[in-house]
Amino acid sequence: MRIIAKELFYVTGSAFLIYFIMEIFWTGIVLSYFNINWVLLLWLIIAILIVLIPDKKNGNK
Amino acid sequence: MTINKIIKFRIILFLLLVVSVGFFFCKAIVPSGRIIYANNFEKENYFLSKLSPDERLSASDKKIENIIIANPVYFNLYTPRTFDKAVLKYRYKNTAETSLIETGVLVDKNTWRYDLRPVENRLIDQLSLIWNKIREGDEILLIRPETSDSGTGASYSNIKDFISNPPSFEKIAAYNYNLNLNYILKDYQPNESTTQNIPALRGAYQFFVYLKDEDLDLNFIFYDLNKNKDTDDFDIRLYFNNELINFRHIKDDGNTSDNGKFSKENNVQFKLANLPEGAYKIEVKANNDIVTKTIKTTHKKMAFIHKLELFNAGKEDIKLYTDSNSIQATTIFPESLQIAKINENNLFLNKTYKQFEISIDNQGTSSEILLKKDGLILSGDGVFAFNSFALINPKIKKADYNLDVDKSGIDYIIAKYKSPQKAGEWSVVEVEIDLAQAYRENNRNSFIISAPKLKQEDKKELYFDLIEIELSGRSLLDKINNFWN
Repeated sequence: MRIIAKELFYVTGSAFLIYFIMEIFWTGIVLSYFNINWVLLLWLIIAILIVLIPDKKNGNK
Repeated sequence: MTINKIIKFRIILFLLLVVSVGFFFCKAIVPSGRIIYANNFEKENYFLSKLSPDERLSASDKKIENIIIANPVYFNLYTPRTFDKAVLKYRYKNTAETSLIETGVLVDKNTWRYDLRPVENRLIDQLSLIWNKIREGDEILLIRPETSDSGTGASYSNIKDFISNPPSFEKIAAYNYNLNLNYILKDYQPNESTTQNIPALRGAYQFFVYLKDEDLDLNFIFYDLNKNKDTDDFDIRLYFNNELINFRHIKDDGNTSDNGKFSKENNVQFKLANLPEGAYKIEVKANNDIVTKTIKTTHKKMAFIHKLELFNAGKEDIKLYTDSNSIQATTIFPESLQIAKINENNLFLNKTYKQFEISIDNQGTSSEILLKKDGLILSGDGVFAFNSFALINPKIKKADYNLDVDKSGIDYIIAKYKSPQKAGEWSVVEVEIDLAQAYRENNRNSFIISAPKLKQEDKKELYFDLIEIELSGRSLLDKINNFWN
């Protein structure tokens, strides 16, 4: 579960960064279809999940 | 989860990201060169903004205000790239029974000029039921039945005949049609001792002059108010038969701040020789910081087109003449509030920032306007002159709600106009707009919906159900081909 969350964390983080850069260079290209804040929110939720899900390999939280 | 599975999962996720990026680029580039945006007023739309301003709108059962109660209203269209043409499709209900609805795109921000195209013109709709009609595609020629010999409009069998051999100027009205007829004044003689008494004017304006065996000779005196921060470069343009034939570019005074320090007077001479006889249009394309103190000229005929702003210079008792059937006046200065006299009628200007209007039955004649003070914006459907002898209107009469065809002696109406289609209780119309010349800011074009007779106090409504815009421009393939060739 933690591994899946980590993968999602990377991809949502990258997505936010790429969309953000696209918006800077071409205003409205992403925002006209959806609000990129939702990606940021998803990224934050996944980050919180990663912190909360126990890491079985290291035995840490 | 094995390493293999993790890698596969990662690849899938990043592929999805790549696909999403591709999707956004594809939507922004519009490879086919054609796209449709629509607003049915049920939810906010990033591409097509809602109508504005709010005070000219009213709510219906829809989530977004879509009832127009006063004129005009605006909306913006966001497009990620440029297009050459837009076809606006409106589905609406004209419960206000308003006689004219037009729409258009902003083409000049300085002069706030929209290139208007017809949506609904009830004068033409009604006359096409009574008069003889020749339709060729979008073009329509209406002929008064008693004009033609047999009463069938047989004097002209097609529009080409009409254009190549038109009747006299006074008998024609046009709507959304560029009919270039040579306007010649019989018995006109230039007079070198004429002086036009032009008061100070603010911002942009246009006027006609008539030339016959004389040079164009205009001597403008400008100054810059420096009340806005922009640079105040401006142009003086000369047109003949709607074609730009000459222009002067005048540079800013060097003060680009908004300190309100008036510039020195700038004397600009616009002289041109060997011009053929006819009416010429001069356009001063300036922003509101530019004041024309006066225009010195000996031209006998000189009339300002549709609108002029009399600068608040403290001048009193100004006389103007107009052939307009409806005159509007607005002031932003409390000291300019007054009772303007138009012929025997009074126009009470008792509130700033409010447009006051008076309708006068002026078919074919002129009216005298007497202003106690300047500082007004005057507009009308005709021309304005500062001497009765200077009045000249080489424009063919516009076939709209202001025109009384019987009183004006109009026998022919030529137009590029298609009546709206009826779909149940709705009217559906498609309007083609040229976007190549449109003004674009922040990837947005501004559109107007104008219904000049729709007034808030009349409590009438124009109900819009759908605005759909089909855009077309160069495809990606065209652009690539262009790049290599």
